[in-house]
Amino acid sequence: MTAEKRYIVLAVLALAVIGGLGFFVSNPVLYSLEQSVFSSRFHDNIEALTQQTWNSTTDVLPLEQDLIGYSGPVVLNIRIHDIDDARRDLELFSQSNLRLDGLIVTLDMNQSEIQELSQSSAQQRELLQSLLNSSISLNALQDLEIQYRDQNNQGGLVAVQLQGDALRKKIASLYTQYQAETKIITEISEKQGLDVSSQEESLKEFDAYVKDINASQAEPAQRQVTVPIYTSAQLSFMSYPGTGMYGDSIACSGYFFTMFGYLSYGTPGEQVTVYLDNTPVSSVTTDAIGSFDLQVPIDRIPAGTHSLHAESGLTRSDSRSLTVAPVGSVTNLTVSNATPGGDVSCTGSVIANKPVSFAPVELIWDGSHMTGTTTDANGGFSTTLRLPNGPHTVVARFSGEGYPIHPSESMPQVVDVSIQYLPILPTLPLLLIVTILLVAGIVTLSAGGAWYYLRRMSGRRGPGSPAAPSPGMTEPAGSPEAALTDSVSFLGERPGGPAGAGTVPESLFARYAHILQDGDLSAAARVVYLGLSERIAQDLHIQRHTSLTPRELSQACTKKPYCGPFSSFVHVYERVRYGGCRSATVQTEFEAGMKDTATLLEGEDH
Amino acid sequence: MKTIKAAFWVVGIVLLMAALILTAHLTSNNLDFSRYNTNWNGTSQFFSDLDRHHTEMILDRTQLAPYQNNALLLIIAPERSPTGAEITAYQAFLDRGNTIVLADDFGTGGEILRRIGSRITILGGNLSSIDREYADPYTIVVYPAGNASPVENCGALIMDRAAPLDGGEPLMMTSILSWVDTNGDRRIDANEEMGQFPVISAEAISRGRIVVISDPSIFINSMQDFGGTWGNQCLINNLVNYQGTVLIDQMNSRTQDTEGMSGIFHVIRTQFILEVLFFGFLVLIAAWMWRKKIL
Repeated sequence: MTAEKRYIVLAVLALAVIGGLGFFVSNPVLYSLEQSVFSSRFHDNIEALTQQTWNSTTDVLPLEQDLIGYSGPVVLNIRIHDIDDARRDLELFSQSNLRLDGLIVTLDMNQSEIQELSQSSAQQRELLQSLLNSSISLNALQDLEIQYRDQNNQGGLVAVQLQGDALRKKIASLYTQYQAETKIITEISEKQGLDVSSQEESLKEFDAYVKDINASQAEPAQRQVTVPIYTSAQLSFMSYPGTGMYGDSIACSGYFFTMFGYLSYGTPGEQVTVYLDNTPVSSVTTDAIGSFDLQVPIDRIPAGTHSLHAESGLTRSDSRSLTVAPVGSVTNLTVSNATPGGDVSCTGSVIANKPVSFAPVELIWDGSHMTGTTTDANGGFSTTLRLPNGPHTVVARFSGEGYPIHPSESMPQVVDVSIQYLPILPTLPLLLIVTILLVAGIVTLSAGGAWYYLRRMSGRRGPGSPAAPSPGMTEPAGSPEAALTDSVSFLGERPGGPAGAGTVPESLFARYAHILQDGDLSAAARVVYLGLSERIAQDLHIQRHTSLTPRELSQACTKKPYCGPFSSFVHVYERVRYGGCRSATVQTEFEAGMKDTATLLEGEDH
Repeated sequence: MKTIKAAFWVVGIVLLMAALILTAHLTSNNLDFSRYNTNWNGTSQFFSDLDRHHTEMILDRTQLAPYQNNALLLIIAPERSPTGAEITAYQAFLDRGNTIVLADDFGTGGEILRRIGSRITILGGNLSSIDREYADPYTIVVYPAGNASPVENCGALIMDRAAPLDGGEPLMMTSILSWVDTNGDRRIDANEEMGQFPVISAEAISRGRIVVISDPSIFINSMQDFGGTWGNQCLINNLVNYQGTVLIDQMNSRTQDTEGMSGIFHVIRTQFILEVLFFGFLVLIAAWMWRKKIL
């Protein structure tokens, strides 16, 4: 079978295989990404799914159990008036709720019973927070009632009693809501096998607390005093505790009501503003029974006694006193080493009983220069000073002005600044100079590289554009090029031969004839071609002529007298070398071309 | 000429590789549960790992007749309604004290159970759980609820789109934080309640026993490589290494499915005369090519 036929058979086979595969291009079974993820109603490809690193039940159930366990202790603490523990438990309750919420988002369970449980727990927590606030207010009212009774302040007594009634109603309402949320939580928890004893306990304690406060209200019949009849709106106001320090919160509550005869009506939806020393500090709206409560933080309030009261429209409550006790503070400062430019980084903090946030801090260096900065929400500050050469002392100072905090000052920090200059460029710091030198170096290197590249390229000659030797350019005897010429003498020995060689190089024809004796026309032809091509490349000033094909070399020698014979020579040479032609006719033709080319090349030399 | 010869050999090797790939392509398929499907959703690995001396393929109901007391019939993913004769054969198989293991979720397994008189039912919907091995609620983790055969000592398993079961004695159940995804949105909705659902249940019928696995996907190739992390391999081992003969239903199972060229190759492989003719034809082609110096 001839080569052509074999190629045809192979081509047909290849086309058949490709055609066979072509039927499955739209739905390949092997090696397709779709194969790994295509949908099936029976299963999903787990190899294409991302593995999870957590075990969900062991994460979720303990968290849920933890969450539903807080309500019991909170209600118990409220009932026994342990306010601090109740607050701490509520804070833990809140954190637990947040953790569960985070997991619900991670698990994409926002419509599940877990989410329902979390929502009900959050609602339960808010109800307990309200219960705590109401409980605090109720306790304060009882103290105030004793005080008014001692003072025989009938108006104050009525206001206190009415506010107490409102608070009891509010607590009863909270209990009703709490029962509903607890029922939801208990049902879900029981279904998931969780322990709900804490929920049941909280409900019992809440119920007992409601009964306690109602019983205490019903006790003394002698509390019924002469009741003045008002027809205008009244605003009662309570604050607790009466003393505080920086960072504390004062719980304020009250009752907005109107009396008609002996009946009082709470006024819902009224805007109430709380004033500290006649400066408004916070606002709130009364709820459905006319009561309100809010927190006033002790922040930038000078130490001493202040007045708190509430107003709603033209109605103003009685004033309550608030004593703010001063606390000490500590100011810290850390100074970094100076940069070569003289910049010094100063960081620190101001801490009283709590971090002092958004407070002004002065940075004083050398006792005479001052820069101001402000603390952040966490009481920290950070700023940069640019200092001149030499040693400096830096201190941070918190003046405490306007705060119930004593002033403080950090320990002095010493920093030695040594700005580095070059003698010839005294105004530029070292870093800038180094940068300039670096850029200059890069530019110089780039320019040098470009110059070298262009210079190198200018010496090259393409195969299609042989460079003519420049006028007057000669090859000195004994130069490398001349020696090369000598070494490739192809017609016979050159007069004068290579100096010092002591031997006469074999002529190209002689080498051709010598190799041909072995019957290898192809190898002999190769030797002749190499000799001729080297000579022609030398004539045309072509470097690396061996990278050119014979045909490219023949195309490069146009305008030279030997170019025609050389082209013919190349044609025959290719037939001998690559076409496998070895006949006597071809050999004769080759030798003729060889001689013609060589003769004309000799003529060029002379 | 040396270059031409080298090119010839290179082309020949490329063609040979292409032919091999084409053959692999044509002899495989992508049908769910097919034993001839080497992809992730086939059961080729399960079938290739079977002990030939201990296992028999049931191609006809009459093959069930000889087995007494101690055989196990595995029905994986039945796809059509069984005939009355097949149901009778299944019932007789149970009456003789044997065991049937039915693995099905959305096929006709429910009908088979009902007609052979089982109280176990396969309910609708994809079981989902937050106890999952992969980021997909259908790849649920299920936990032992009993230690009877075939789940003894296996621990938790992974299932892939299982269905909930009702009735019988639960052997494997989901965690409490699981639900049935009725609308297929892969997330829990307000009307989808959480709870524990059986996924493997067993029941005694007559003198025999039936075990229902609500997810035949435990037999597919992609579910075979959990190593020791999960008990899937343990369950498979318990089934195929059953103390008696293991019979695999090929009358009514998606595992026997083939299509297109895969079906033709399957027929050639299973019919001895056709196999001889086919390979004889291949030898003739090779001889002709050799003579023509193509090879």
